[in-house]
Amino acid sequence: MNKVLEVNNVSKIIKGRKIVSDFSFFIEEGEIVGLVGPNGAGKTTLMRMIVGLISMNNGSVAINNLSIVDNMQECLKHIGAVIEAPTFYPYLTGKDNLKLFGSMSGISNDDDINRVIELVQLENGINKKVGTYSMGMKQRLGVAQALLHRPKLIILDEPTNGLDPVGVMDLRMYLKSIAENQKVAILISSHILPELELICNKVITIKDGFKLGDKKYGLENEIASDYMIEYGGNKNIKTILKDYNILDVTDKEIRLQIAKEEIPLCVAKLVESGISIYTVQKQTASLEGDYLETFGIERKNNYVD
Amino acid sequence: MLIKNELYKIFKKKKIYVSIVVILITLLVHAIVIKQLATSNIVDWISLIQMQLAITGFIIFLTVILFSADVFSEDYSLGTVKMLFVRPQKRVLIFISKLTTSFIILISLSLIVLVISFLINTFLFNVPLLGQYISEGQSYISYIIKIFLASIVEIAIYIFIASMLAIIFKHSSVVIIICLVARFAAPPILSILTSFENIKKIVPYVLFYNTDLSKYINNSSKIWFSIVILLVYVALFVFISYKMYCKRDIY
Repeated sequence: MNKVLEVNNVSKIIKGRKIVSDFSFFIEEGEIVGLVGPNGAGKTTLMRMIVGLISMNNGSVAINNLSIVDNMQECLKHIGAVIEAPTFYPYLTGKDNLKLFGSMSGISNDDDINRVIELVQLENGINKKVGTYSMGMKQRLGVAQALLHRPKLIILDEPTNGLDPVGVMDLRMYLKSIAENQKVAILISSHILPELELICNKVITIKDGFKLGDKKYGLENEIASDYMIEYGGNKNIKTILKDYNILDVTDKEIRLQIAKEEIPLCVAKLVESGISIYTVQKQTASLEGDYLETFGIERKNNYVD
Repeated sequence: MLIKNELYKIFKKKKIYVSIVVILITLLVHAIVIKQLATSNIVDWISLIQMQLAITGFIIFLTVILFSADVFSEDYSLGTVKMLFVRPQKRVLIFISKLTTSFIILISLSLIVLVISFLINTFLFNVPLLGQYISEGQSYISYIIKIFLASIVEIAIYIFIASMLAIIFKHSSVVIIICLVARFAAPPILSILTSFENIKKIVPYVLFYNTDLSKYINNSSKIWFSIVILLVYVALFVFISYKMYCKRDIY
C-alpha cells in the first residue's frame, strides 16, 4: 500500500512551549485515521503543519513521498482540508465561495461544483450569502470545498461540529465510500468518540503534543466489545458470570466486555440460572473507555455495586 | 485568475459603488458651483482639472487606502487566509494579485475622474483643450497628463504603505488612521524640520518629502532624485510585506 501521508518526528515549539513533540504516523491509501485528544492537545497544530500553514521546528511531512516544505504546491494539489471551523467570504453566496476557492485548485466547471453541493446536500442554501448560514451549513460548505478537486488526502478537523445527526451520518457514509472506492486517505479529528470508532481504521491518541498510541478499529479487529445486559431476578449474577470481564453491575443491568460469538452462551447461562434477560445492547462507547483510560481520566461511576 | 477573484470580491461589495457615486456627485456639484460663480472667460482647462483632481483626489485616496488595507486584512479577520493558503497556489502570486488589484482600482477610479472631467469641461464649460499652450512646448494635454500621473503616483505610494501595514496589523482601521495622519501631518512636520539647520540635510531623504511629484512639473531637474528615493522606499515596503505575508505562520 502507498503511504499517502507520512509524518516523521514532527515538533512544533511556540513561545518556548512544545505544542507537538516528535510526532510520527502515516496514512495509507483508502485508510481513515482518527486523531483524538483533549482540547489543546495539539491536534489542530499538527494538521496545520501537515498542510504547510505553519512551519515545523523539527521533522518532516511527506505527501505521496514529496516533502510539503520543498514541494508545497504539488502537495497541496492532492490535499483537501478543513482546519478548525471553515471560513468563507460572508458577502458572497455559498456557490460563489466554492467557485472562488475551486478556481484556485483548478476547478472551474459547474458540474464539479454542483456535484459537491449535491453531495453535502446544500442545494437549498447555496445561492444565499454565507453570512446568513448556520454553523451546520458552513460546515457542509467546508466539507464541499475540501472535496471539490477530488484530493487523494482529506484532512477534516472536527467536521461533525454543528452538523445535525442526518448530516453526520451522510458524511460518514460518504467518507467511507470514497475511502473504499477511490482509495482516498482521510485524517479526521473529532471529540465525538463513538463517531470516530464507527468510521476509522485506526485511531491515534494525542495529549500535550505527544502521541500516546494508536489502535486499530473496525470489524476485522474486533475482539471484545462492551455489552449492556438488562436483567431481572437473581442478585448473584456476578458469580454466575465470574468467568467474564465484568465492568459494571447493578440490580437491573450488568456491563460486560465480551466477544460477539460468546454472547449466546452467556445468555444461555443466565437463562439456565433463572435470570430474565430483557435486552442485550452493544455499547458503542468502547473508544470512549479507551480515551478515558489513555488520558488517565477516571470514569465517573454512577453505579453502586 | 487570482486577480479576477479579487476584483470579483470587490465588486460584490457596496463600498466601491458608493465611492464611484460620491466621485460623480462631487464633480457635478463642483461644476454647478463654478458655473454659477464664474464667468466663462476666466475658467480654463488647467484650473478646472486642477480643482477637479484636488477634490476627487481625496476620495480616491480614501477609497484606495480602504481597499488595499481590506484586501489583505480581511483574510486575517475572516480567517479565510487559511483557505487561500491550502490551495495549490504560490503565496507570492496571491500577494502580487492582491497588490495589483489595488492598482487596478486606483487607475480605474482616476480614469473615471479624467473622463467625467473631460465631459464636464468640454460640454458644460465649453473650454477648448486641443491646441492650447501654457508656454512654449508645454501643451494643455501634456500638462494634464503630468499632474494626472503625479496624483496617481502619490496614491500608489500609499497603496504600498497600506498593504504593508494591513499585513503587519491584520486590521484595516488602524491602517486607515495611520495613512490619513501621514498624509496630512507629513507636510507641516517636514516644513518644521526644514527650519532646523542640523536636520535640514536629511529632510530630502524622507519618504513624504518626495511623494508629491507635481512640484517638478515646471522644473524637472531633480525629479530623478525623488523617483529613486520613492523606489527605494517601495522596494523596502514590498520586501517587508512579502516576508510577512508569505513566511508567517497562519493560525
